[in-house]
Amino acid sequence: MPVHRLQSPFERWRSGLLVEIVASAVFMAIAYGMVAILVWIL
Amino acid sequence: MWLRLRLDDMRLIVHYVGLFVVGVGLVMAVPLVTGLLYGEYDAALDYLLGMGVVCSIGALLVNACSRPENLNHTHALAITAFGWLAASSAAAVPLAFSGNYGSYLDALFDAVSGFTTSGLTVVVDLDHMAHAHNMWRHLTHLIGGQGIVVAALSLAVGLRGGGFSLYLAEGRDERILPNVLHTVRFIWYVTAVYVALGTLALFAVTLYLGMSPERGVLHAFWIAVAAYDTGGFAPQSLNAMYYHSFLFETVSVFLMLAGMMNFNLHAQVWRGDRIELWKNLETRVLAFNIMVLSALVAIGFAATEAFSGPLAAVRKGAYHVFSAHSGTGHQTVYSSQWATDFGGPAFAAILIAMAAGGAVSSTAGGIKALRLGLIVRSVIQQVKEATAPRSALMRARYHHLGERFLTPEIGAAAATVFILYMVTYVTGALIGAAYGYDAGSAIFESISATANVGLSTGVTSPTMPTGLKIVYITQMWAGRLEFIAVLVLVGQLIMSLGPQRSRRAA
Amino acid sequence: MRRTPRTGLRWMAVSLCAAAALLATIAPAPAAPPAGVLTPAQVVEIDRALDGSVIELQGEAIGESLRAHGGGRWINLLGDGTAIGVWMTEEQAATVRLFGDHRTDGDIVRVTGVVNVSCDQHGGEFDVHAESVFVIEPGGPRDNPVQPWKGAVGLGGLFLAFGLWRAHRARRDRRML
Repeated sequence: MPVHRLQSPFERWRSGLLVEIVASAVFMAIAYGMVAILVWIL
Repeated sequence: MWLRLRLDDMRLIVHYVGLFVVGVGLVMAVPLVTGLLYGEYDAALDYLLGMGVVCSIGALLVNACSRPENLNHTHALAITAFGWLAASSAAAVPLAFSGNYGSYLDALFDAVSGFTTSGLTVVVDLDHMAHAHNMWRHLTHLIGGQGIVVAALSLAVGLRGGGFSLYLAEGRDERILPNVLHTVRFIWYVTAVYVALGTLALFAVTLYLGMSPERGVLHAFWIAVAAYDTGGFAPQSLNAMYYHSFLFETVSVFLMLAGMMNFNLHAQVWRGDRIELWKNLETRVLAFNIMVLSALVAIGFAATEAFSGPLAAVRKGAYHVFSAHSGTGHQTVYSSQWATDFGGPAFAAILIAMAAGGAVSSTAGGIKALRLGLIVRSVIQQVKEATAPRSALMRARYHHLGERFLTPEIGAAAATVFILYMVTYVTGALIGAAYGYDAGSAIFESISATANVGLSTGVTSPTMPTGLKIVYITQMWAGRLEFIAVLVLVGQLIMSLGPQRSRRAA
Repeated sequence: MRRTPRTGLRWMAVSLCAAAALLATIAPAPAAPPAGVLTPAQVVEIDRALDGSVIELQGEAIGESLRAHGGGRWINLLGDGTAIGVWMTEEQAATVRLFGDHRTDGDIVRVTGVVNVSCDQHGGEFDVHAESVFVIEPGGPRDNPVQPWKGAVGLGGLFLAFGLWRAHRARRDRRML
């Protein structure tokens, strides 16, 4: 952790951004999927 | 302890508020250029007029009250609270001349709604509004979303008694510490990246939908800003429904998710600490909330047979959970449908989502996930303590950008803000009901205004009572500043205007 | 009683309020309602028992014709301050020429079609599926008069602001010395 702090906060932004987008996509897929399945079943 | 404002303090506050106003005036150059580029000379002139009026008034304030004096914490709070009102009043000037608002008050309503990233609107004939004016409405989202973050961030630091306090960030001018500057720059950097990516993605969608490139690029930028800054304005009266596109809605939900995330969390993840995304108390609370509320909406839809079919449930149900929880307020149903078609459980879920809100230090509004998480943890801790042997020493921890101890002070601070929000939600709802609106709509609209969401059951309209407009303006303002700055301002004004008693020797 | 310096501030507050009050006078122009057929605003408030029935509505086409996922076009019709999406075929959409925006009044379109409160085909949209589409009144350019006084006041204000800014800078520099 201290090693990261010495670096500029922008240095790894691309991979960080990618992680965020993937995490959002997974989360959205789960939420959307759950709603769709629940409505379909009930 | 209340600090009575002396004349010098007031001059100092007015001086800095004047700088705010001049700043707003200068940014009006953007819609001015937009108007010129798109050949809307009538609207461009509104911005030339606005710039002239606003800059001269601002310069007058700056000039009339220039005092070289150090800012303290109290000043900073007053400047923030007062500055927001002044900036909104300034931003309303060109809108008032647009012909799309019934009065200056209506224009002010939209300016406050824009700066606070609420998204409630009392605009008339939005579909014929000039691009320049739409550019300005959406720019207020961009400025307000980032600007208040700076204030909130610094406020949190100040309350913690950290090394630098609010005034350094909001007071601007020469006295900014590198740390604060660094923070502010990073916030703008994240915003630039997300808005740029969002604009690109949405631009591609608009082209696919068959919009012309020059209209498409504006719409893409505006919706990207409105979604990322969790605003909720849109360039058409149909709001997000205008595009009739699942793809368009999905891309904007991505931006809403990014917008409801804590900027510190963005920083942490972008530095390479990916686990924080998973371990953070706030993201966990948000994820849990959204899942539970989405399920509630689905069950509600199934029970009332409102929107049958899985796709309809996602586009009309889950979409609004995301939109409400992030405090965005983009809407894909008509206002009147909340009451007639949405049904009980789903309606309740949206209310809870709006009231809860996004992450602290994000552009989202509401009580905020961290506070909710802390309050729940505090309750659990108290139960544990009650059942534990007296000799046991227990300390609760939580993970938010590192392991922290949950002290009673932290729990109490969260509970205080929670109470202030709840009281404001209820008060606004009672006032709305007193004006004759039905209870459900009044609660919905009150929460929407206070939590800076912008979903509407139709109470907010150009024809609503003037008193209610003022109530909602106040709610949006106070809710966005998380009450403390506003309460300080009110307290100071009461103290300063009251009878003069023992004044401290300066 | 150190009254005097405060009256200055008070005077400033009063004059600011007066300036704000002066700005509070602009009126909007309401759209003309068509007779006989429904306006989009009336369609949105339609009795839910009529869900799925054929209705006739009329409104101004706004924005542009948009591609619908799964084929066809969307054209949004505006009337009485509310707009509604009408789903139609490519051929029907092609008959609509002008769309409303800041510089254009769109064609007034009359549509006969099926109203759906929650359309199964289009993900729960509140829409109208057109059977017939007629342009009953072609659109045209909108009148947006340029008001030169605004430019004059604006430029005057900017010069004033610039002058004040220079004065402020000069005073600060003098204090520094």
